Amino acid sequence: MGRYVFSRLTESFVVLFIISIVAFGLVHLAPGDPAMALYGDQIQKMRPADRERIRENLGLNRPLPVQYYKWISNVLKGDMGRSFMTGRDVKTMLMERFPGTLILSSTATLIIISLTLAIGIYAGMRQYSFFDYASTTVSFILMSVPGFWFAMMLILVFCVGLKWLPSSGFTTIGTDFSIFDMLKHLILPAVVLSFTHMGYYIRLIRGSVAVAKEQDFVTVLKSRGIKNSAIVARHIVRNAMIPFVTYLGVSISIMLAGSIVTEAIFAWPGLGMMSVEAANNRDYPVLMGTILFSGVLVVGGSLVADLFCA
Amino acid sequence: MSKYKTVTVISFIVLTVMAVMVIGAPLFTAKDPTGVELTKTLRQPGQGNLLGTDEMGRDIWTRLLYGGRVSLSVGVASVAVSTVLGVAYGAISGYAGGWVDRVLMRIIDALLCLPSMLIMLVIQSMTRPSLTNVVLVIGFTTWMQMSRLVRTEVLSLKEREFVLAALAAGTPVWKIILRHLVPHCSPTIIVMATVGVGHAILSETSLSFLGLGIPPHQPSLGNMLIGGQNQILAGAWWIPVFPGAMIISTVLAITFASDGLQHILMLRNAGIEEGVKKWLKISKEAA
Repeated sequence: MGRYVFSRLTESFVVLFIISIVAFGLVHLAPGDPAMALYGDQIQKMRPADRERIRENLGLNRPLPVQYYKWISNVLKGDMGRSFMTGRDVKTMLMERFPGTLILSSTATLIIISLTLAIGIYAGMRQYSFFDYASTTVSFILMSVPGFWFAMMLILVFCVGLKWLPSSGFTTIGTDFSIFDMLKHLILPAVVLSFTHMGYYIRLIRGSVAVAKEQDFVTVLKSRGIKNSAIVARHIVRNAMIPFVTYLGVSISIMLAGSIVTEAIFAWPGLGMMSVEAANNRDYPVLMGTILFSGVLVVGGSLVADLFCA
Repeated sequence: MSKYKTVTVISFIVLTVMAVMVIGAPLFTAKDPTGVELTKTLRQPGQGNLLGTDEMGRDIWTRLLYGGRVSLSVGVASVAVSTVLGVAYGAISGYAGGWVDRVLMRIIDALLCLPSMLIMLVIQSMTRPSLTNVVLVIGFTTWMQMSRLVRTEVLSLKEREFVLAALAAGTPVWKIILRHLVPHCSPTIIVMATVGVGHAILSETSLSFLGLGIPPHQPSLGNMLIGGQNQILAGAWWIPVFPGAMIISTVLAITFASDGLQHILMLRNAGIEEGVKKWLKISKEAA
């Protein structure tokens, strides 16, 4: 056990190291340098001497490994640099926006787990029934719908047509914060984020339930006269839960990727919306910080999942 | 078996019809996809414009065909890139084995930890948006699953007698990989590539929707939806509805086709049990 924990920890550090290189490399090996991004078209009007001075101030004239070393040692000390656009501390920005993403993606995850477990187990136990085919078709449709388009259709129905829900934001502007108001804003983004990712999980759980119910231990339990519902509740559900736990890391990564578009369309203040803004403004320190931060979340998530299983 | 064949055949017919429509776009419309007509803005469907016009008076049916052309070709081309990359990487890793394999697989683990959409955003923000860039970006960020599956297959295939025979006959290693190992993985490769086309189309449309994909002067199913929510709030529902319906029907046909192919190709070669195991594995990877 101790050895496993140790090797799993080392592995995580190696993966984090590679992620940090990717985050750094993406920004620094790209055509055009960050100085160019910072000043945009103005750089063309500058004298070469000025350009050199900017590059030197930003430390861009040093060899890449030196720049990487400087960057990563600062990051380890907790300094992720400042945003090119707002001049604010990247770490503060990340911490400000993280709760938004956390609320949205954990709500979506709860919806996904409860709905897909119910549908997946029901379909898996009745393999090749009408319900099974219907759930397969629905999950294929859910897999094929672009999240942002689904969001638009929900806005069309619930905001324009029925006028039940707000179409964007975290809370109603100009009012005091209230949980009820925030939940009302949360419904549509959470529905979009969960429904567009549900298809895979339904298929996955249905598949593993269909395999599990044929296994010998189920036959043994049945022969002992244990009721079908008890077998499902005690044993099949536990088997069906496994993908959620082992794929926790991957799921976090998928949720973070999905929340980018969802947050952007609903103007939900989270990491996703921040990264879209940063990408549009070429705000490299923020982008590097977001990549690194998501990497830590995903690696941490899969580490917890693996240690939990062991 | 026959049921899967029917579904697959129907999906491929749908896809062929779409391909013919978007490739032969000029045959199905006389209008210019970028032709701005400011006297005809925001027209409802009907009235000389089959699916209405957008806020700049451009014909939506025409843009749908030309945009579909762009989005479908991005889907196919980026999967070509990711397939070549993924198969090569996976085959080399699996054949080499040992520490090379371990290092290469750790790199894949790390890359899979990064949300793909985020990486695409970052790369797109740094390069000038163009069709080729979108293809390359999607191709370079989506090859990892393919690689893992090919590697697992090569790992077991290389122990088989025919590889030994080829080695004994003095066949060079690259030829063994290319001529003997990769063709044996073709069912997996075909299924994963088909799944990939659907994913790639969704990625392209999302990127273009965020303004970081296909540049606005070229219609794509994604950038036709830019500002869609404002148009919906303004009451012009037809602008976002049709491109979205086109995306869904294309990706849905691809998803059904890949599911059918998976059953046909995998269950034919392997026993049922092995086929189910493979299917589970691929479904997990695809998730």
